[in-house]
Amino acid sequence: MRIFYAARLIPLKDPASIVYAAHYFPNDKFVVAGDGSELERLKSEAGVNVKFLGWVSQKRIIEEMEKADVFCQLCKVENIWSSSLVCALKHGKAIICSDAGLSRRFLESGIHVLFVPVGNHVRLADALEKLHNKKLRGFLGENAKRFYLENLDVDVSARYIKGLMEVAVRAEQK
Amino acid sequence: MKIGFVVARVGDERNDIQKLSVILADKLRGLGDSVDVLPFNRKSLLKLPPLLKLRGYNAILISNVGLQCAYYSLLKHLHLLGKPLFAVGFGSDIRDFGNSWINFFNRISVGVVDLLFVVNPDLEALAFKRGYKSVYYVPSWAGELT
Repeated sequence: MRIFYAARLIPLKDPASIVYAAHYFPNDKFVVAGDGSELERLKSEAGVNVKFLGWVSQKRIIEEMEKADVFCQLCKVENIWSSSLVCALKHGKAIICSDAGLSRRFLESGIHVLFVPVGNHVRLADALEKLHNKKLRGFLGENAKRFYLENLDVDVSARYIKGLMEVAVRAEQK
Repeated sequence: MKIGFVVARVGDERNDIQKLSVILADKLRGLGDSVDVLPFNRKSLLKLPPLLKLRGYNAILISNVGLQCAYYSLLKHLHLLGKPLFAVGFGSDIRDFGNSWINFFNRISVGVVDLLFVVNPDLEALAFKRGYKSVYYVPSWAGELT
């Protein structure tokens, strides 16, 4: 299995959990994109199955996302709407998401994502174990993509912004 | 509507906010608005504000509640900008209460930003906490970057 993580490598984004969880799965490949204060420390603690890309372009993020079987979104404070999470939803990936902030308001556990407690690499490993089931990955991925198409369309957002601005401009002109 | 859309770091490959702003500008044009992207950087502080140009717009939209928002908010406080002022908050520009610059920029902007759009739902409550009166959550269009 190929697991992808993309975020700034700072404690808030919890890259440590993915590095520690990777030790339980020596036969799986973990790809970590991003740089930050945690990079050098995590490189020294990671197993050989973890590859650090450093900062990469959006194009590379998309390439890695397409190759991945699983995406991990592990912020300790809020995931909604991280651009990497939105990317994973759009590409129909099986997603493990930290149970932080308003994540549960929008995403359903076992339907759109698998939720794990914040900062818990053991429970993250449990979730990764579950996702070795290809059928489950497919199920989550389909639901993730559907969620994206139904809720995160830019045209809807642009129309909403335009509508509110027009009302405000008309009110000002009166 | 003719909109002046103030965006910082236009063209910066590493900056997602400016990319999202340019995407929004394109979408608004597609919906029939005339949108001029007005690039902003620290050097803008050293130049005279384009007051004549700003008069040609129905509204000014600011991307991110940073230095650029504080700058245009200050113009509005000084009655040099007589247009509705709107802003889009993307994240730490609203969320980071521990950053004194962010707090400062928001304090200047709160009284004069007529509408604040936030692209993350947790920012709604935080924006109200900062004192903004009209705050609207708009789903993020970050998927357009991918």
